[in-house]
Amino acid sequence: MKKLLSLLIVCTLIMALFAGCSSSKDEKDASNTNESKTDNKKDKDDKKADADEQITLKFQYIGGTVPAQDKVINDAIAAFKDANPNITVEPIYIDWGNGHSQFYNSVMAGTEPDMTMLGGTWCVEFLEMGTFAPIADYVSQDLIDKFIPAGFDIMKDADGTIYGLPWDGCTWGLVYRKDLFEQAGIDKVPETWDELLEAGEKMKAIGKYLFTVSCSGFEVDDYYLPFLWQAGGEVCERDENGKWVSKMDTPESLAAAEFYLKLVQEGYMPKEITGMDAESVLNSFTAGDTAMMVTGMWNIANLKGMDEMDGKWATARGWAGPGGNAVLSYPNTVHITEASKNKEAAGKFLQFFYDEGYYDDYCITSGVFSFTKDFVNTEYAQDEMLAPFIADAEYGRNRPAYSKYEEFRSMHFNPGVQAMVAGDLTPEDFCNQMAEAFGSLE
Amino acid sequence: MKPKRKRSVLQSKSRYAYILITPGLLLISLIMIYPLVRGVISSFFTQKAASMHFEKFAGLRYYIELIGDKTFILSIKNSILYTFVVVAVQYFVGLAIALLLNKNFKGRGIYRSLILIPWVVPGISAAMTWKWMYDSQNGIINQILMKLGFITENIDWLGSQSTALWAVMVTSAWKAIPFVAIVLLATLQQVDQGLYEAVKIDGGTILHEFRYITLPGIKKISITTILLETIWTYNQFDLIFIMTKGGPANSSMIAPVYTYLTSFSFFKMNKAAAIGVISLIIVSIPAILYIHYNKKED
Repeated sequence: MKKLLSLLIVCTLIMALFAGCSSSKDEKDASNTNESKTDNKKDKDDKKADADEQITLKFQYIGGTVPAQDKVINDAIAAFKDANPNITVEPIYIDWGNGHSQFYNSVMAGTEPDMTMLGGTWCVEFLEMGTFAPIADYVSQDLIDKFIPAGFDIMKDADGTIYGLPWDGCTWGLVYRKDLFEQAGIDKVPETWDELLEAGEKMKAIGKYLFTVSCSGFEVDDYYLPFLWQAGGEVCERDENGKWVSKMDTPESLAAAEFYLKLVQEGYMPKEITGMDAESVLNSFTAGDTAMMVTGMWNIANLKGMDEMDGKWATARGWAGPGGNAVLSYPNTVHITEASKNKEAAGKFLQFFYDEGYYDDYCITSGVFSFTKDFVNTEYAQDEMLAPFIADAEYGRNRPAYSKYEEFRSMHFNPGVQAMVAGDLTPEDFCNQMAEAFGSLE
Repeated sequence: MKPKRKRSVLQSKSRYAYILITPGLLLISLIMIYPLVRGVISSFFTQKAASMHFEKFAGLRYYIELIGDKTFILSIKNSILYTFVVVAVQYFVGLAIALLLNKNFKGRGIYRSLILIPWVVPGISAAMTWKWMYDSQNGIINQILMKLGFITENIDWLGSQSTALWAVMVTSAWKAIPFVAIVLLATLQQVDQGLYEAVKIDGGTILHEFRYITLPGIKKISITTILLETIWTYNQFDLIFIMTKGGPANSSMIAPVYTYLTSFSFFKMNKAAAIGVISLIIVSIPAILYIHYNKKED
């Protein structure tokens, strides 16, 4: 009996193993390649498809934290259904924590939704896998032209083909404490690096930090990159062959590293930033330990909700470095998947969502902004606290659209900045090590 | 004839038992053994991102790659240190608490209930709470130490390379001490009280009681508890991930966090599988020793 049982288990395992190795995804992978060619043809035929044909579109959307956001999406879906009775859009709500893995898993299993919203820079890796359809084939050029061009930076391939549209956007801008500025005798918010150092000295004299950014966890580069860009530097660039090469060992990169470190060494920024996440920075700011912070614009709503902060704070436009102004500013993204059998209908829905005002409503509801050129003229954008953030979007930059950047920043760049702040690396060593590490990425 | 009949009844009973456990075994094979085997196989193959399909045989490529990967070596070292320190603290503090709660004193029941609180607190809540307590500028730990005169300036507990891992170790030990204490307490209560009386009559001290009665009484359960805690602590992910994300400068990077980053942030599934296999081997060592010990005892 023992032998029989063992045999049974072994057989089951082997069968399961083979079943797994030749999983349906593989078959789908193979058939998808063949199908994709016929699909393209089919898609074109779809355009002429019978208007009565019932189509169901799946739209993966990250939300659920703000009920009002979901309402905008649901209202848009209902209105679209009224206008297009043969097309039903089914939203798939996912929280932020699972948004990336859920979509990744669906790509692995070959069960992608027709449309998906993705966070910040997630689309880069999928772009290289050929997961998305060229968006210009399915929405109008007028719609594409409405957006701030920088919003497309991470959605373009080496040929410049665009594979998605900007979703809600966010800028990381400057918030300062008016009371501490007054106390320190600083009459205007620093507009250059030199003015920043000057203000830092004055703030130090009253025992406060001028400025705090997060330098912990996965957030380090979010707050370091603007210094690099302001110095005129870049992490990497494509060479003439389209290959990503490091720019970390340039004089500009060194200037940024030296300046960042100087802010810490001179006591203008707390040396504890390596243990401070965005929440700790906000706490330090509201506790009156630090006079300025760089933060995402969602914190404006948080600060407005704090009675004890009434009248004590304001926002301002970011400062310029030797290479000019630069802030971190990028939108989340939305895409039509290449695997969708109904790309035409998906494009129709996105066009409807943007054209009928649901996009702007969604962004306003979220407390962020839409990445369109004319958003700066809307009434919402005139809010005195939001206005500098929205205006700064003109200098908006995003992380490099390189699929290995995530690995680079997690394993090398962020730990490198932290080691430099801790005094374990000189700025020169930091820049050289980063250039070397970038080159070693597979 | 009688014994034959008895044997056939036994045979039919055991056959019935095998039939009953077969679905369970199959289920376990599917949800545990199959992923494990596939994970091991995966570490020897290349694979395209977002594909279930193995491309080609890679041999030991990922294992060789890992030997030269400084972050991986650091993560394994940190994991071993983390596990050793946390399990040691958990066991000795847990044992002390169990011995204390085994004594007769007023309000013992309340203390026995209160001691469980850290164990029942969800990992994420514990991590967030300790993170706030460790805050370098406004955390309560710095404030208390400052008021007591132990420190003159704030310590950046989670932001300093020299303290980050140790700070998380404290949280991890704090969280699991109740489990060890309760398990040991339950065992201590089964120890024959008459034996302690006998030691006293023979003129033995508290140390004699502990060495000759308490320790042998809790030896088996201690080994089981230490084994379980070793496996759980080595595989712990939530506390480090929430409190330090493996930083600063990778100083608190442990194997589970590195595995997660390698697979779900860098999409190197096969390399992550290789890390998993190495971790499995490391965690298997105490388990093998435990099996060996049990065999010897039997």
